[in-house]
Amino acid sequence: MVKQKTKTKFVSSLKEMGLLKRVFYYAMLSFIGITMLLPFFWMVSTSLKDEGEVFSFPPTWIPSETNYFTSYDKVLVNSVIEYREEKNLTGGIEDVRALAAEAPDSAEMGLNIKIIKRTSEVKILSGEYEGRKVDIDSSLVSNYVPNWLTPWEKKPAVPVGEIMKSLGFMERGDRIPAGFRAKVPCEILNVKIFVKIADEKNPLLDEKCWIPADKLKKEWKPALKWDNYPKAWDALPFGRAYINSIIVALLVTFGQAFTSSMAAYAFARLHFPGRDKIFLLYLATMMIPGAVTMIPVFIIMKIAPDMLNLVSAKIGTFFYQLFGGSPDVQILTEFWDSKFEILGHYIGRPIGLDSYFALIVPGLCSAYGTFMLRQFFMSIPVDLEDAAKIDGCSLFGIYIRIILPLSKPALATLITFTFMAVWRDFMWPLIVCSSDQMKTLPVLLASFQGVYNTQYTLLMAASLIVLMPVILVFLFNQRFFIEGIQLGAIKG
Amino acid sequence: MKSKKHFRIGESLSGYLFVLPNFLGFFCFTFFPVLFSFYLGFVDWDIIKPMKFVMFKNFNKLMFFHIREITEGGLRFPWTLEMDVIFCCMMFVASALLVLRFFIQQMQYCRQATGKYFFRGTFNLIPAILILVSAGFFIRWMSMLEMLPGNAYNSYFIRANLILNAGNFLGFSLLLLFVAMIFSFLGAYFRSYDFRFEKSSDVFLAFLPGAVILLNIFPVWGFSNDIWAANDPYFWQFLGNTLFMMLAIPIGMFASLGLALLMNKKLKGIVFFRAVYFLPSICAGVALYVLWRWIYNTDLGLLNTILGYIGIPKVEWLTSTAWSKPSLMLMGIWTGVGGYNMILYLAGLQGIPLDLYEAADIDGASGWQKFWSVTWPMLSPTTFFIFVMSVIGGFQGGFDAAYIMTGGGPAGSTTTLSYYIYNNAYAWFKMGYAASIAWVLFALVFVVTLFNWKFGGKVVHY
Repeated sequence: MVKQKTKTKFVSSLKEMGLLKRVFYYAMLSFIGITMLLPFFWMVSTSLKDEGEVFSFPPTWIPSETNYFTSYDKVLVNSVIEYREEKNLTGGIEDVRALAAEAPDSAEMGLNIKIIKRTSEVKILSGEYEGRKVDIDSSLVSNYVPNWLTPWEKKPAVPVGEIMKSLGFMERGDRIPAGFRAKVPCEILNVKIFVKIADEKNPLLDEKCWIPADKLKKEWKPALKWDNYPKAWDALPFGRAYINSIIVALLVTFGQAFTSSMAAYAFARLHFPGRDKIFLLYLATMMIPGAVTMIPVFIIMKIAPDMLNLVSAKIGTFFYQLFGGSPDVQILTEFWDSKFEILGHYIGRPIGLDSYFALIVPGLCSAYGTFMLRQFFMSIPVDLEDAAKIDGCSLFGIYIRIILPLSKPALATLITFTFMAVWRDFMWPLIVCSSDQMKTLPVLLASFQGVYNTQYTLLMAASLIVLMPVILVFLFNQRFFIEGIQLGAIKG
Repeated sequence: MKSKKHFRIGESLSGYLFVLPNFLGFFCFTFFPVLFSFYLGFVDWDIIKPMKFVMFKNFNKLMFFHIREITEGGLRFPWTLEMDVIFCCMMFVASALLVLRFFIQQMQYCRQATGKYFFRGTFNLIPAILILVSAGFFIRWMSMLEMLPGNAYNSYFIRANLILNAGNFLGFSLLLLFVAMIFSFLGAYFRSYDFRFEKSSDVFLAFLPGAVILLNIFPVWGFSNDIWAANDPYFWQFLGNTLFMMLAIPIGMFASLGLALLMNKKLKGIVFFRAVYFLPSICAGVALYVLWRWIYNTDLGLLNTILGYIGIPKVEWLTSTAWSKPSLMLMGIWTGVGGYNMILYLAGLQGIPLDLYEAADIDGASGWQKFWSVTWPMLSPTTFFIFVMSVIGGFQGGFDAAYIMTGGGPAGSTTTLSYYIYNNAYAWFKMGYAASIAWVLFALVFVVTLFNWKFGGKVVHY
């Protein structure tokens, strides 16, 4: 029997699956893809919004601005449309008030009607003007008690002066003589409420009133506020943070690759006393979590400037006295504690917290890298090295000319992972950096959030600024990333 | 007999030179800090003031409990200090014998028949008698008490308290004995590949001293809130937080597995989907945490908006104690679903040979059965690897997300152990205490990894 090629069965081809299944799979994949991409879309959308639009409810998906303006072209001031409400009223002022309350008042009900005045048409019941019907302002129609023995009986009454005003006997603005403030009983026939109603010809733009949304024209247009990005960039030194991140990541990666590969070669191929014990030490400390080692390294970094100052001072004093200086003089130095500046840019301290030394040097050696590379080097056949040795190559030459070129995949994986880990590292730079100029990108973003806590537009713009290189590099090199992981999986 | 190795001077020198830069960095920044932090665990220091050596105070404060003020009641039973001492000595001797038993058994492995009765008489019978006598003692004492919390337990707890909390040596020796027992047992298990329990009683006797010691130190039957108070309740809360957030590991693993199964088809454009799913994993970091903090915003965030479309009322994701941890877990799962785990599973899936599936088909297995009996066992190495790595990372992680998204969470509900270490070391400058927490964390990781390694190796098919 011919042995069949073992091929996984589940990797079925496009044609074998039925249409329905295909559609189902694509739908599932697309749904999950949307779930993955939606937050990124939200981030971009928020970063391009205007500050106030972020807080609008419900949240909008596309940054836009809505301009409201009336569709009315002209304004006619002081136009009045009478709105009559005819009711038979027997009651007093309460009815008037109730009626007035019923009438649409623009300020309260949000309609495009404004009450100008309310007048009651009353019929005078007694006095000189008995029987006449006049329009009096409703607020002046008040109750009076006709019989003090029955105080609950109230009847509407109108001041005489107002009657005279509305009949034309007195001009508007004349002072009503005292006697004419007396009230005359009346009967309210109806209430007239004078309103202004806004319509096509009479937009009430000069009056303070609300215009309902459906009467207004809305113009919606997408407005991408691109200047959120320069604002975010200028708010905190992102350019400097980029440079910091790049410098730190490059140096740490290169340092780790260099030192780990050299040590791995020694552990794999060379024999020297104590080799296995040292390697066991490496393995033992690989299990120890980072938190354990971070605290003493932090302490070392914190104490280092003062210690070095002390030591340098002592050395300086010693040499000074050696070369004939007076024994009373003490040389002091604050060099190791000082802050460097180049061309006005703050470079940090030479050593200690808030320095490039503290960011880079503790990460230069890694046990993981050594271990991984040692495993890889042990799988390189020895004959190549023997041949090289016969040809007279030195050990370092073997290392450079044979081992390194052969271990390109492992080195590439190590470099990739190290670079990404250092680029993303948050805790250690957070501990070490205290000034904005020395911070790496993640830490700077965190402090950006600390300052601009609720300005979500700027925050999202800053996040995108920080994410952009990673996304771009990934988009152009995704196959490399994914295959590197698979290589690591198969090897390890 | 090891042969004497002759080292060539030139090669040795080259070897040392090659290793030198790496070893220098390793020594300064890994080896020395480990020792120094171990020393720090036993001191009180905040860099400015001089170091103060307090032996076990940090670990005491961290892990153990003390008695609250018991205001009423008194000794109901005339338990004296002498009985106390006798009790402790009996337990000590019994435990010591049981520990020695396993050492000797491992040494005597080759000589099976020699000294069988002596061995069993000394190392099984005497500890058993001692433990039974002390247990009887204890039961008699218990039966004479009225079980009122806060009253009748005074003497017992005072004894335990004295043993543990004075920072003195006796209490720690008991605990170390227990730990030594575990290690000796495990050591025997590791060194002799054929080691197994000979009798079922051995299982009981192996764990008995540890159980009895623990029962003496943490009496389960008296473990009520109104008597005990944790010396550092925050540690236990944060440990609980860490363990809870590690529940996201299996969920994420299964999600990645499901996704890998879905993606393991030669559809057109699957590479595009693979890239899209990998994107959140590659962007993982502070920027994503900031983004998700905005997404989880109660009033204006994306999630609550989408839930509003469906009709579910607003959920206070990051501001309520109930939802803060699940929201961090959800974000972690979202970030990691299409990431490394999925790629590893894809690689594993593509390594499963075809004939297994054909055999399953011949046997008439359904799709689900095929998964459980063919796919899942063949993926178990990958699963095991991912699980071990994730557990190790899960214990130490959780700092970044908690710092940026919730700042420790409402009422400390998202603070993990690493965040607690950060606060102690760099915010409050309690270096000694932080170092002790870090070492307890290491011990936890070590024990769990050991457990995983040994007992997971049985589950994995290679």
